[in-house]
Amino acid sequence: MAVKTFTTGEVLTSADTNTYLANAGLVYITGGIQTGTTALNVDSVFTSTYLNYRLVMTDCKTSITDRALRINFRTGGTTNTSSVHDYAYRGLRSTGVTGDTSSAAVSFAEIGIYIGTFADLELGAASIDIMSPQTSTRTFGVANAVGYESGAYQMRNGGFVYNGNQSFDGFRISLSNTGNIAFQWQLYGYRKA
Amino acid sequence: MSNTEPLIETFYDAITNTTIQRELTKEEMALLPELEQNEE
Repeated sequence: MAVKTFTTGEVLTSADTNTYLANAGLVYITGGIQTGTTALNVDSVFTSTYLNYRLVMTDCKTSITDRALRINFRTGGTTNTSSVHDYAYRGLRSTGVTGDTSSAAVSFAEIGIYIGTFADLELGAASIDIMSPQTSTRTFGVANAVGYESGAYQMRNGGFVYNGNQSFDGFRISLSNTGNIAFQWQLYGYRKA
Repeated sequence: MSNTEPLIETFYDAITNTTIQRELTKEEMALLPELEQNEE
């Protein structure tokens, strides 16, 4: 494990910095700003360097209301829409109204953001841990999300699974129906050692 | 409900570090998940 205890007066070398101080914990891989189209497709980001990843999205908005955000995974530039996705979220709005959602054996997974009111405003965010997408095993996801729906912010916690053994190198974020989607995103890898 | 209209999507590849926006091909559209009118 890349850990070193430095002693008082010890000289910090560039090698030590590169080994022990850089790339600690969550390592930034890539990110960007999505705008003006119906979906974002990201390729060549899941590699054997990391087993698990975190996708953080914010400033999310949709051009049409009543839209849930979805995730699919990609391999070699092709989106996988096999009907083997399960997802489930517990939801609670700030008004106290519940907003659970779930589906089994469908062609996509949701990430917990639902924009029901006020299109074209920054009304959603999510932090999604994606486990083992690159290995030829199940891909799991755990998400915490916020979206604006029916006059209140709705918080959802839950997860999803691609219930098949498949290796992916990318992902796709889209909507449950027509319309454009916009958000800022950053992808990190959990350092293994 | 299926989407039969041309769709413009964003594609980013981390290897080339390039982002493009383009219409989906017919093959890509055929692979899209079914769209829903409303959440469940």
